[in-house]
Amino acid sequence: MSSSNIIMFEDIFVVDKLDPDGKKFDKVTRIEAHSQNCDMFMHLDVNTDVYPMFVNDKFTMALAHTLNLDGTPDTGYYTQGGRKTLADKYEYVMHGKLYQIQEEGSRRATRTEMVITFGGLLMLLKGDPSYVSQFELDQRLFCLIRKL
Amino acid sequence: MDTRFPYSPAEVAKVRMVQFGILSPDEIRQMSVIQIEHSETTERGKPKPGGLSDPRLGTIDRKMKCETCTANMAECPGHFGHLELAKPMFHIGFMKTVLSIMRCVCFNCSKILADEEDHKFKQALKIKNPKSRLKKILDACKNKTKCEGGDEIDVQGQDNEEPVKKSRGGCGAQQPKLTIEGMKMIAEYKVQRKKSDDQEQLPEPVERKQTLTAERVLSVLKRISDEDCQLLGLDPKYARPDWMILQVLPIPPPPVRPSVMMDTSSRSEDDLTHQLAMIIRHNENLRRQERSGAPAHIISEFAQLLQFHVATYFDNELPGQPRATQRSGRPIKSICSRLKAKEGRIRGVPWSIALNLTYPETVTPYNIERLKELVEYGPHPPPGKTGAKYIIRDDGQRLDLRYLKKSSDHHLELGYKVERHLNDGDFVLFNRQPSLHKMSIMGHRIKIMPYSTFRLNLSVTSPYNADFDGDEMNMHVPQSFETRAEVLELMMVPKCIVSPQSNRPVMGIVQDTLLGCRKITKRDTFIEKDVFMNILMWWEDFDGKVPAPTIVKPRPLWTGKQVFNLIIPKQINLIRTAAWHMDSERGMITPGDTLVRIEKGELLSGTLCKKTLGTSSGSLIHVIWEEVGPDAARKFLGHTQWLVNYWLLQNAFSIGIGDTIADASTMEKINETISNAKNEVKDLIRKAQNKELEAEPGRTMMESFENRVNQVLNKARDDAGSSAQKSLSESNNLKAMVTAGSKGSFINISQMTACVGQQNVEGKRIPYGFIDRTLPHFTKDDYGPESRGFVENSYLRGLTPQEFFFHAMGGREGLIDTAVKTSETGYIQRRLVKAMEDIMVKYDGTVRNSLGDVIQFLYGEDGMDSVWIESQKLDSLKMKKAEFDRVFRYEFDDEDWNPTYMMTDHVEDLRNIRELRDVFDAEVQKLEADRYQLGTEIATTGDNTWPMPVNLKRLIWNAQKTFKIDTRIGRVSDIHPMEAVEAVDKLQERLKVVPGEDLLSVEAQKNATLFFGILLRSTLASKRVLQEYRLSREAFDWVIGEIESRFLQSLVAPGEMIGCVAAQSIGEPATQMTLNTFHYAGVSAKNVTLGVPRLREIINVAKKIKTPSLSVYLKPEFNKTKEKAKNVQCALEYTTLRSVTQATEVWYDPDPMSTIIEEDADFVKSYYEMPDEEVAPEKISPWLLRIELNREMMIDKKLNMADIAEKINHEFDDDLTCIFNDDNAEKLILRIRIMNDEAPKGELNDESAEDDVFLKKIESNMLTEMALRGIPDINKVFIKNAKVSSFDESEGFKTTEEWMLDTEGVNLLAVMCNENVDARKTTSNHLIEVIEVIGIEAVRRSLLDELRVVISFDGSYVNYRHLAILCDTMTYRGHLMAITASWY
Repeated sequence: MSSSNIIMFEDIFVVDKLDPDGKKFDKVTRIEAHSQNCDMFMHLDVNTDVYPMFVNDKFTMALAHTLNLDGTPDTGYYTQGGRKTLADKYEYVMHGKLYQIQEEGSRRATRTEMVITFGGLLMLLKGDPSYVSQFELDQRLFCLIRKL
Repeated sequence: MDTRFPYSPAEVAKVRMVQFGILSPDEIRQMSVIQIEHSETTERGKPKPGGLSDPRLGTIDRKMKCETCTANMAECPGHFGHLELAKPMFHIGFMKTVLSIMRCVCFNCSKILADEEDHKFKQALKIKNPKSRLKKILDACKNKTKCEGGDEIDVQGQDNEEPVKKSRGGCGAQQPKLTIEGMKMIAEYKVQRKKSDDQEQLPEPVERKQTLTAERVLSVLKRISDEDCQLLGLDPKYARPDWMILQVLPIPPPPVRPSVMMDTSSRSEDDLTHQLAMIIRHNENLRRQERSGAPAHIISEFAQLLQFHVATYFDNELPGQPRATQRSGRPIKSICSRLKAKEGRIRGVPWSIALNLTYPETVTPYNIERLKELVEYGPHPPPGKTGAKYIIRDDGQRLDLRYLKKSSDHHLELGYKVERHLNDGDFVLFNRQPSLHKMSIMGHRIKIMPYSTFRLNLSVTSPYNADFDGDEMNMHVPQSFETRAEVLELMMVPKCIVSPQSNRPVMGIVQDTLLGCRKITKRDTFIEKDVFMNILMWWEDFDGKVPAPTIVKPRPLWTGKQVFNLIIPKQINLIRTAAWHMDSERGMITPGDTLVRIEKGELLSGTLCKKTLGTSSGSLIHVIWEEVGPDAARKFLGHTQWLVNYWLLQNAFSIGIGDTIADASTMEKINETISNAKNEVKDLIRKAQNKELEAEPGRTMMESFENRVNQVLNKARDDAGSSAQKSLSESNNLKAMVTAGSKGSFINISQMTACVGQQNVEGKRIPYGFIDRTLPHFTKDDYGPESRGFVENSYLRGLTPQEFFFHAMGGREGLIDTAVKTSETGYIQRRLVKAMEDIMVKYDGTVRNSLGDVIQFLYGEDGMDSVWIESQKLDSLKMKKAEFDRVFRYEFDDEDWNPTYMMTDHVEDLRNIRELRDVFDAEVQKLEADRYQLGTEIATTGDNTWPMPVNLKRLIWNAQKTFKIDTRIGRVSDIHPMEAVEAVDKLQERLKVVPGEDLLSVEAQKNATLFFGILLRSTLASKRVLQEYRLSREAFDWVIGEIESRFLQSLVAPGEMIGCVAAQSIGEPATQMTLNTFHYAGVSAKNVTLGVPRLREIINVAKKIKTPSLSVYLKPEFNKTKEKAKNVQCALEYTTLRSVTQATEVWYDPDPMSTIIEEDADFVKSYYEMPDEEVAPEKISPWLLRIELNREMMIDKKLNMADIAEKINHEFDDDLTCIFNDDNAEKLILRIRIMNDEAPKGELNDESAEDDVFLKKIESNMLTEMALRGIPDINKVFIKNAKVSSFDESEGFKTTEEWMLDTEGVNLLAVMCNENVDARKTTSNHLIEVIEVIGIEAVRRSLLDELRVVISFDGSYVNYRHLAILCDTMTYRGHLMAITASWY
């Protein structure tokens, strides 16, 4: 199975702002970014202590439901050992849960808002409903990032 | 190396053994560095050699070195000296031991009295424990009156008739009976009854009763042989019996009894030094007397005195002895009291409680083996084991295992009981006084541990109100299965987590753990692999599977929130906010991480703090308890502590002075704030001195001044405080604790870093204690902030001496207040409990007392147990009409109606079937009717959150989560709306509080469920189910089922002693109230009694209350404008002539037609040019009462001169004549003269002399008695602008402003009769008046309202049903019954 089946969404983003509401935490920075292809808007908390990010950084961000390249579902537990995973291709990988999908706007120009928590590091992804339709509520997801 | 200790070349030696013993006189002399001879400590400013401060004892001067060890003050431990006593003295601590030994040995030859062959003696010798052996030997010797035995040695045996005996070697001396009297030992010889008592007198010419000197006792003890010592339980090597008598007194060195430098020259000595000086002095006196050969009785007198001082030096709390006192009369602190008691060095210690308390366990086939083992261990089990104390046979015979030596006695049979020691896992009751709650006695499952203190979980300290600063608690062991079962089912800690008092938990996460939770759940807390693994090991349910890390790459990192994912039960869904959440932070992903969201037991976002983990209603603890159960809640508390505390250990926390320091710019700002405030006060003072200050309504100018000053200064303190708080960074440790909620608050920060603020005594600024000033440091009449107790410094900066003094004054009042309060509230609590202790819920659902009188027909009017009640929102109440329609009404009349939330078939049904549409019309109509009833009858204030059973919103959310409801558009529910309506209807039928089909039961059922029904219908309206919650059929059915079971669970259990609960629930918050609550902090001039004094008034049904007051509502025509309200105010306020009078004078002004007062000349003249009525001038008295009226008051009261004159004329008729000037005149003058009808002309002089006296009488009478206007007893009336919200069909709730009146003084009946007053809303706070004027139902309501005001004033909340029970017990008989001593 190719990785395209595992990856549910991928796009290239550009960091617009760091900490749009002011700096609140030492090790975590909230980045505001927009995507180039799907016109998505994103807020994402990144542990900049281990993976620094700056304004105008260009990066690819993927959301996948498992890291196993053969597509077997994720167990939700920590597995040690250097097996080959999807994460190998990325620099910064987080594991979390999609806990809210909301629609806003009128019937035509609806935009869907997804909120994902990575153990308290939050991601807000706003965009066209079509990109979001395959996601389900309370789904476990991996967020994979690689700078370009 | 530890730098606190100086270097020592000596090798570190190991302690091989510790041996306790008594110091022998020789040992004392040997260890002494000096013999003390003088009682004086110093001589000519220097320590006196041979005195109590001899430098050889150790240095007392920092500059000098110790003469013995040449170490300096810090290093020299001090060296003992000694004092040779002139005569031996008893050691008060050994008196009892000496007595027992003396009783064991011959008074003459010091041999043990008991016979070696004696059975008892032999038995005693077998005992190994020396202490018990002595006791046994004493037993054996007790009854010996003679030293029996051979006379080989002692030939002088007085008694000739001794039988020839074995070779014990007794001297045959007769033995006196020894007793202790105070500090004396008394020997008493029995009159001997001899066989040949004819010729023989007493053997010796000794007195029958004599006092033994310590000297005499010493000589006896000295003679005891070493072997006998051993037998008596004393090792002669370490503790010879004669050493128990003091011959030499060791003198402790100064470090034991340090003197305090008073100033540079004088020293103040320790109590012990004083006492030692006394001993030395009396010792010297005694020696002198002895040397000079004084008579025996004098010497004995002096010896007694010395004995007293020696005794009180050791122990000054001897029973039956006078206390040795300092010159001031304060008892001297003895060595004993230094060591003993709560403030001493050794705590009173319960000796191995587990081996003392027992539980009677019945022997069964299942436990017989275990119990046999316990019985084998007996009352003194080996370390680490428990045993048993008694066996109770089935015939009731008790076998004491202490005395059972034969193993046959240890035999157990089924049905026997064994009183075994406590084991791990036993259930006990644990209690801390004062027991104000039912949570003050709770059941615990115990674990036996070493050391001698009870240990309990930190979270359980809050209901006990316990801390670890020396608190004592009691433990009880239930002794039967029944009590054990009750403890287990009703009293265990987990079952008590949610209290019925205010329907919220009483235990939460506290202290370090709370702080740890705040820190661990911060968004940027990451946990490395090693630490996370260790945390997992503390987790009870760890199954070896490690949850996936949040950050997988670059290196695995877990977040702190993941720790909570482990321990929050999986059923839990919760949304809360952090304490520092601001409403400006909107949206799902708050930048400050303040939105706490837990779904399916996973902490998705937010920081946990006291709001989530504390004891507030709806907190995590509350939700877990209600949703999952008591044990889950207990487990959560425990786990949180284990895991978070372990983490906190790795992330140390500390706080220091540095955390209270604000940066320079902030300090500048604070200083500026305060100096601005001081300037403002200066301005106020200037205005007040010039009388330019505008008086506030109902206050004098000075009162207004004080009030304004207070406002300015308090605001300054708060402003300074908030700028200090703002300056503290996120990393500040103090702030960390405050935000977590574990310790400290805003006021602490502001006092430590910014400004301590105004100090108050009796609710006012510091009063003038000296003449016109607070302290001599200030000038007279200084009203400034500094002089009246404003502390502008912070604790960090330090207080000036004056500030410190004021602070101490304020603090002292606080201490007194708490002391007074405890007794007062304790008594209130007792009376409440005594009045209601017998009230319980009966099996028919009614609430009755022990007489069978019905107090309530249904507990709390809804039959619910308040433990299961939570605050819930009635959504429909505040909705506007349009919103209401949008939420509840289907728009099926609309042509284009095409809802996305319903299946198309169902939409068609609704469009086409008439009958269905009728059903939904009926549904909406019912909802509208509900809303109307709510707004007009139930929740008339517009408050839409009410405590009610079954948290519907959470149930729905839980259903959405468990049944995976996706709320996105297009995911349509499969329920037919018709089904939803029917299901809710049917559900309501099943929610029975009062069963029965008879009319009364049906009506009662309707009333009981009215409120809940409204909630149920409005939350589960069919359109909401489909559109808002999007529940599937499965989820909806689950919700319906859950509501039914939870509703039935929430009903009170019959037999519940709700009277006690109610009494405690009201009494407990009363103990937390501050006694003297002086003012409403607000603007209102009305001053009402609150707190404990007011509660006492209410409960006592006081006839005379401190601040009687009416709340007067006005009819709609008069409450719109202040002007109109003002008219009513004038009509109500009781106005006498005095209140409008400026000055009165009595003049001799003989000509009534003109006047000698120039000011009045004009208007008198003009009056008599055109008089109102013809008066004969000859009848008019020459004396004149001249009253000047206060114009401002006249205008304020809306009175004019004519009114007053008319009143006077009306009152006094023709006896007085009264003329007055115009209302616009410069001064308002009333001139009053007496009219004498039958005044003969000639005797004018006489009469006029009487007239002036009469006039003065009239004057005072007029001023006080004459009511110009108003209602008696209504002394003052204040106007107030009140916001009133009332129900409005289209707007939901509308708040309107209206004017109303508050009065000082009450007269409800008369006020209600005023036609402008809305008599239906006007109330009085005087209960007796209410019952007299309106009746018992009204007074019950008044009582409830007044109680609420008192309790909610300091932020407490008590569930309605408890207050209702109190109100009903006070009123159910039709008259008001005070809660007084007569109840018991």
